[in-house]
Amino acid sequence: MTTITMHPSELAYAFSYSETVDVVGWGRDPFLPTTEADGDPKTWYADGAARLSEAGRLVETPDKGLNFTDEVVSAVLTLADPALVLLAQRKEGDGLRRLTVHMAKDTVLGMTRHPDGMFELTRYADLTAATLACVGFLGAARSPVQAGTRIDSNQEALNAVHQLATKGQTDQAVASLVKLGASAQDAASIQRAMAEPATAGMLSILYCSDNVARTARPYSIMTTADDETWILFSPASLEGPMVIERSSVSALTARVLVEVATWLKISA
Amino acid sequence: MTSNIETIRNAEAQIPQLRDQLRALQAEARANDGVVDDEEQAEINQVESLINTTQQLITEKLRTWGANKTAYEKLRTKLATDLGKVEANEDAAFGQDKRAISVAVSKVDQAASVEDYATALSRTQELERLVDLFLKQVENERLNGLTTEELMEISLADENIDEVFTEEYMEALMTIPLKGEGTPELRDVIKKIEKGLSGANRTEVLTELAEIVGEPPTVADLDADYARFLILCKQRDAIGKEGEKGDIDPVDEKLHPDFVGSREQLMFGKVLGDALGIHEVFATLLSPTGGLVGPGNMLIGSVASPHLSPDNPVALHGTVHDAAGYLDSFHDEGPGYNYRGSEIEAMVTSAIELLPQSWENEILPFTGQLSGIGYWIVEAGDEYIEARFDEGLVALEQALESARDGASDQIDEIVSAIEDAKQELSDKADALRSDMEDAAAEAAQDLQDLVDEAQAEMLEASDALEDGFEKVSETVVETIENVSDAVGSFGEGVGEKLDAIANFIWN
Repeated sequence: MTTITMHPSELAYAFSYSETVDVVGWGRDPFLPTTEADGDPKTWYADGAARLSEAGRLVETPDKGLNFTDEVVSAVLTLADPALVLLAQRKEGDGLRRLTVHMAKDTVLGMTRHPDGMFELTRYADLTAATLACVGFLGAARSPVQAGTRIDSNQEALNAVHQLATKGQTDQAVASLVKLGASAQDAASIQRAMAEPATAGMLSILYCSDNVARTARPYSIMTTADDETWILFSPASLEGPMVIERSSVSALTARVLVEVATWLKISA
Repeated sequence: MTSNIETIRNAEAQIPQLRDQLRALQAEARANDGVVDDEEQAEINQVESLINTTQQLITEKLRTWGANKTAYEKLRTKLATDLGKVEANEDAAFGQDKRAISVAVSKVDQAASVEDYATALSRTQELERLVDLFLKQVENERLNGLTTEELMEISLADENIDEVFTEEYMEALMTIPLKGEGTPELRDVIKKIEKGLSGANRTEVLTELAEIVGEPPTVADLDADYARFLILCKQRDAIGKEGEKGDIDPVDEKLHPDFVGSREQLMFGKVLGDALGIHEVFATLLSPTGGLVGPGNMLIGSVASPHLSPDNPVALHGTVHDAAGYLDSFHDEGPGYNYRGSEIEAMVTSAIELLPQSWENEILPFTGQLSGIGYWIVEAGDEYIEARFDEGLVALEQALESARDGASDQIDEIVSAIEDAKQELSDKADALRSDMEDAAAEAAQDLQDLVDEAQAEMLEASDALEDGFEKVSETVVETIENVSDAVGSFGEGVGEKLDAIANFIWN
């Protein structure tokens, strides 16, 4: 696992050579100048080129011309044209913190943004490690859970429970969950996870081609103050069933790995 | 010796004679005094060596002959349909070309009749070129007769366009030789073609071009490609105008004095040319600024050397992306990037290894049901099909429960093993240290080695989990309207699904 930090103008400059505008999981805005102080695009790109050169990431030699280092090449190609992206968004008040993982060819690359605007790029050994990083980022419970604790319902019913739970109608929310098949203990835990989660967020598996997210498998993840994690997802389309399931670091990681491996088999 | 079978058979016929000669020499040497002297042995060795060399040559030539025969037969079979089309063409304007093809066929048959497949193959390859040229000219004639509206509705893509947007193609493009690249001669010819060719000037300029990039292609090949280029220009202008794609800009040579005829431009032309079935030089002129990628185009004067080396994978990606964009905008063509799931299979291998061996059997019944249905949902949007797809996905999700449990147990082991091992090491070392400090150090080292070995496999996963926890405090808190806004570009239904699941968190 190795990490480098890059200024957004460095990434913008490198992306322009691959004719990339959007980065899946980020869009385009984070890589563009945001204030007048950043100057016009020409200045922004020139700054990016200068930073890359200074860091030894953009090198010019008389025989080979101007070239990015191998490290930058693989990072840019992975970000510019991934086959798979994991988008982890952790709730923070009304806002969010974000960790993305981009996979292409032999590279698994994580990306976060710091408060000073710098991007942190982390190279992971494989999908297992990268998924664990996302699951850790989202605050899932570390303690293993017993499999099979779940409620199979639908979007309408779970939306109604969510409304009750978040509007303080605790008893009604718990009663609705029991009616959907949860035990009294699980129903209370789910109500707490929805109403007052210690951590909450989303993990979305995005299958991509031509730098476009073609298919999404999102999971909402809620963990209570008692370190009990519940995930909510649609195994098929939104019109199909919706499931809420007890989870943990290992259970959620396993779910993601099995989902991706299955998708590879089915789409092969 | 050639690979002609007659010569090979003649050589084969000499082997028994040489063996007879060898036997006679050996008998004669022993007959005199029962001892083979140096002079006699040298003579025997010479004949033996001759036999071995001849046999080796025969084997090698037979292999070449066989390979030529196979290649000839394959190509000849492939050409049968196209030769039928040539035969069926009754346009008098192509009479001379038909006769040339007929003569070429006779020459091929002549060589094949005497089993000289090296010659037959070479003549068939030439025949293939003639047939391709003939059919292209006939097709150009037909296309020239179409109205602009008709031209906008048809595909002018090469039949092998799908092979262009693949990883294999991009790999090969990196090192492909492009004749004339970067030379002033090619730059001058491209500028002449850009001005338009007709009459004697057309032949003269295309002859100049053939001298730089040929032969092949011959002047006639280039002439057919030029004719197709003019048709493609007509389609480009019509589709571009209808879609309000803007004008095609010429290269600003003040800003980019070395771009015309450069490797960057020709690589773009090669991608486009292979997709549309014309020579790269003409393809560059369909979109003359194609291949100019990166902010370097705007940064003249600010950055010393703004053009990235065209062989750099990042620039190459940009060039191919540029060509795909042009094809889509101006010819309604291009399959996009043809990446397959297997591309990342290696990176998922570790994940698959965590699964129980039975997992593939568990998904097997669903594979046929689900693959391909997604396509029909996109194409038809049929609610019934979508419902069937949902059923399959739900059943699959449930069937994989044991696979998830197995993987989950292993991940638990991986995550907890590091801490357990460290604790064990610490306890053991403490106990030993109290008895005997030196022995403790040695034992601790042995244990550490064992732990290091175990950690090598597990540390990355364990560290990644901790890294994820730590990253929370290091990341910026962002405000966005919708979760899907962060995704960038996404396909149909993706945004809706993301926002529906996000409602459980942010509402």
